[in-house]
Order: sequence, then structure tokens, then C-alpha cells
Amino acid sequence: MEAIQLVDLTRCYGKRTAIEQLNLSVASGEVFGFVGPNGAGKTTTLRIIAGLLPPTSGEVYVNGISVRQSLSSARRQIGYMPDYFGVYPDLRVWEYLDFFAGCYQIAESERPRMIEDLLDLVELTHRKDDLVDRLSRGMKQRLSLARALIHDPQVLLLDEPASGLDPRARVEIRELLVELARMGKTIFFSTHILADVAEICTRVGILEAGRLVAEGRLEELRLIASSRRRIELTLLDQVERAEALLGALPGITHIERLDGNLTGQRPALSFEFSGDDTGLCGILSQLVQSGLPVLQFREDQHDLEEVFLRATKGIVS
Amino acid sequence: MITLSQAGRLLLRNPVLVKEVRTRMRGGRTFIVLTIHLLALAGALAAAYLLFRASLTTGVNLEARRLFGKAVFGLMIWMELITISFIAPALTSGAIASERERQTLDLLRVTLLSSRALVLGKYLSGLVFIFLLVLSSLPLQTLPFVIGGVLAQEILVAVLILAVTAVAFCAAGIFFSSLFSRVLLSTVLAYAFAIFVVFGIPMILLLVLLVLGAGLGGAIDSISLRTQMMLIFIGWLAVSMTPGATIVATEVALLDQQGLLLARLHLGNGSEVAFPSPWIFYVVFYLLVSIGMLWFSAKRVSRIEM
Repeated sequence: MEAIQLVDLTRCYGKRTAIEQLNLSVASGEVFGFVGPNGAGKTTTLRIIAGLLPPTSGEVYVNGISVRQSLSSARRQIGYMPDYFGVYPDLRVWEYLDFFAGCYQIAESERPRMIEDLLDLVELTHRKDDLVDRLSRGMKQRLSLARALIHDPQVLLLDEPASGLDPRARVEIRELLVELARMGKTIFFSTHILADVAEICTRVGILEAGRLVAEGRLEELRLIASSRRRIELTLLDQVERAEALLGALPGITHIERLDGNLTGQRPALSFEFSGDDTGLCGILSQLVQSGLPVLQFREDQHDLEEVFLRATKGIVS
Repeated sequence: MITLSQAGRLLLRNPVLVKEVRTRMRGGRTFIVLTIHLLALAGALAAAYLLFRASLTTGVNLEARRLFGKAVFGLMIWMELITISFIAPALTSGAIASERERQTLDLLRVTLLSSRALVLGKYLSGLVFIFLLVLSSLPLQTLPFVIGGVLAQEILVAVLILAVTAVAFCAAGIFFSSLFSRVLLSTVLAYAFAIFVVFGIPMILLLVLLVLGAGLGGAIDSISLRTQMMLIFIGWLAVSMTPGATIVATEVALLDQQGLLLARLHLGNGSEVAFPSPWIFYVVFYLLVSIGMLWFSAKRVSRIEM
């Protein structure tokens, strides 16, 4: 079942088109990273899914419910966390959650247990009676996440959840998202921190100027970004013989010697290979059968920045 | 069909109302405002008493007591009216706009909280506080009843007018707050509305009466009955739209033995024309205006950024 489905979604602000014919499906239980440069339309998309902004055209379905037609039912399925933290400075941490529990019509008798559980999840139990305004930014962000979870939604929409946080707070939020994914929640989050995407996303969508320019599993995107695979080979010795052997094999180009002696490391080679995984196994097999002392044989992963840069052109709508 | 007790329970469960009352009662601010309000009323009462004692030359008699009772009653009501005019806009004019400024409006809009519940919660939290001020000062307000010279009906009508004034001014605050995104602008307009109702309408009325009086030169008989009727109706309408004039007019009607429900006015030819007592129109008119403003505010909140 699709947790989120966007069908031909378009949103215009006057003459400017923020999102154009966006089609996207996120399966239940997925962690979907929505990546794009500033002004690409990420927040607009999230606000439309949350029912805060009507699309100019197109439809949004959350767990099969049309946001346009059954906003109230759709909102029961959605936990939304914007890229800012709305503060009620006079409220204590538990009161803040109690207030939003009331807004979601959760019975008063159920709230204390629910609040305890959520504070436990976001590790804020010890700050339960503190005023919200006295929390650090990272704690506020975790409280914000607890607020988004107060009605136990199946789908979480998170707009830049780690934005502006220090490294420790970022890691904490990331761990929380992993935990939530383990609990079966569908997480749709926008970010420009690509490391977060690489760490926790099952799928990624890259948005540019309101258009989805790439979408898929991270490995798929890496392949799309580069049709040639770069392999690194580390040996105990006999690097010249390995170089000659590789040069004779089909599909291998750009063999380079990585001078390990300068850095005190083992001698190594890198080369590009245009074949598939079976071909790669064959190369390793031949190297070993030739008696070469192979210490390490690994594919150099294209990092997400490279994928992102290749997918986008730097256009802002 | 929703019963009264169900409606009451729904109101008490309104999370916005609970939150606003909870935060308003936190700290010493509310108690300081309440204390200052009661001290001001008590101080004015003490000053009036001292002035009354100093002005007595023949000792306390029944007539003097009645006069003192009326003076104290008028003073208390005016002070309450001024308090309501200044506090109601302050309590409500930032209600919706501040949610926008704090960026919490979106957080509320994604919940199941209806715009009606949001507006009503904000509105009632302001109104409850004003009613607390009025209720806490009731012992001082009813003192003239003990002194003499004031009827229970007069006190009841005055308190009703004060309550409706609070209802209307709080509604105006919410209305302007939903209309504008900036707290400052909505606050200025809410105060302008309150000042216009309390002081503006009586001043315009006075000005019109002066101009008309000068124009006619006291010869009311020289104009047709139809015109007289029309002028009296406009005057009655203007009186019935401002709280101070409404209280005074109702008081005058009661002193003239006209009763609580009708106000009889004399035409140039000696005949009478009767209108509903100004307080009736005032209460009905401002309750309807308040409902209209709250309804519009709820619509406006639900349409924000659509």
C-alpha cells in the first residue's frame, strides 16, 4: 500500500510555478529523503501533503485518503514537523504535549501515559516540568518530533528535521528517525544534509525547480550518476604484475597506481570497469588465481553529493 | 441537537481555552492586574465618600444618601467600562496574529482542531478574564444598593451592559486579529473600535445635537412630525449604540417611571412615541455584531494561506 501518493501535483504562486506535475509514490514503512536545493519546492510539497496548502492542480493521497476531499481523515494519518519550532514560552514540556493531544481530541485519561511514552522515546523525561522555552534547540526539535507523534500517525512529514542542529543533536534526531522507521512509520523528510539521506533513507527523490529530476534507491541513483564503476585494489606487493594483468582484461580502463609508499600504506591500484557484478567477480577470481596477494578489492562508492550534483543543474524556480 | 451541558463540556474541553487560561493564571501577572483593578475601584469609592462627607452641611439625610448612592453607582460603572475598554482589546487583539508571529498557527492547523474551536477558545479565554474582573468587583458595585438610591434593576441592567460590552470588545479584538497578520495593527484597530463605541458615538451624538439645536433655535414645533420622529429615532439609535449613553438613558427612563422595557419620548405636539428601552437594542445589537465578528474570524482563520 502506498503511504503517500502525489499525482500530477502542481502549485503556482501567481505566475511562478513552485511545483510542476509532480508524481511520486512512497510505500508504507519507507524512509523517503526529499532532497533539493533551496527554493526547489520541498517545503511547498510537504505543506500540500499536510493539507496546509491547496495544490493548484493534482491530487495527494495519504494511505489512500485524498487530502483534498477528506482533510480531517488524512490529518489523522499525518504527523507534521515544519522547519521551525513553534514555541509557547509559557508552557511546560508536558503541557505542550498535553495541549496538542487535546487538539487531536485524545481523551484526557489517555494523555498522561502517552506523554510519558513519548518523552521517554525522545529522551526528555527529565525535562518534563521545564518551560519549553528553556530547552536547547536540539531538545526543542526532539519535542517537536514528539508533538508530531502525539496522535500516533502512520506517516511522518518532516521538513528539514536536522537543520541548524549541532552534530550531536543531528545524530540524536537521526537515531530517532531510525527508531521510528523500525516502529513501522513511513517517514517523508526533506533535507539538504546529504549525509542524513545516505544514512537512513531507503529511497531518495531529488527535486529541482519544482520537478523531480531523479528518484529511486540510493544504489540505483549512484549507478545512474555514473555508468562506470571505480574499483580500488590493494595488494601486499607485485603491483606491476597486477597492472599488466588488468590491462589485458576487457571492460577495464583508466588504471592508475595509487602510491601507497608515500603514505606508508600498501601499494594499490584503481581502475574503471563498465561491466556488471558477475564481471567484477570474474576479475577478482582471475587476480587471485594468478597468485597475486590481494589484500582488498572494493568498489569506490560515489557519494551522494556527486549523485546530487549530477542530477541537478543548479536551477531555482 | 446539542444540549447546554454538552456545550459546556465541549467548551471546558477546548484545548485552546485550557491552555490560555492555564498560562494566563501562571505567575503573578493576573493577580497584580486584579489587585490594581480592585484597589482603583476602592480608592475611587473612598475618594467619593470623603468628598460626600466634606460637602455635607446639614448632616446625612435620606436625599443625600440617595444622591451619594447614585454618584457611587455611576462612578463604579464608568470605571468598569473604562477598564473593559482598555483590557478587552489587549487580551484578544493579538490572539490569532500572535499565533502567526510565533509560527504556531500551522502547528494548530494540521491538528483536528477546528478554526471555530480555535477562535472560540481564544475569545473565551479573554472574556473569562474580564468576567473575573467584573465579578470580583461586584461587591463594590452593589454597594450603592445598600446605601440607597439605586434599584436592583438598575444594577442588573448596568452589569448586563458591561457584560455585553466585554463580549463585543473581545469579539472585535479577535476579529481584527484574524484579519491582520501584525499584532500591532490589530491592536490599534481593536482599541479604535472600543474608543469609538465608548467615546466616539456619544461625541458625534453631542455634536449633531448641538448643530441641530443651533439650526432649529429651539423651535422644535416648526418641523414636521415625521421629521421629529425621524430625528428622535436617530437619536435613540445613537444612544442605544454606546454603553454610557444606554445606561444613562435606561436610568432616566426608570426615574421617569417608564419601566424597564419601553422608553417613551415626547413629540412637539405633546404626543408620545415609544421605543424599546435602549439597553434592549444595545444588548441585541452588540450580541449579533459579536456573533458576526466571531463567525467571520473562524472563516478567515480556516482560509489563511489558501
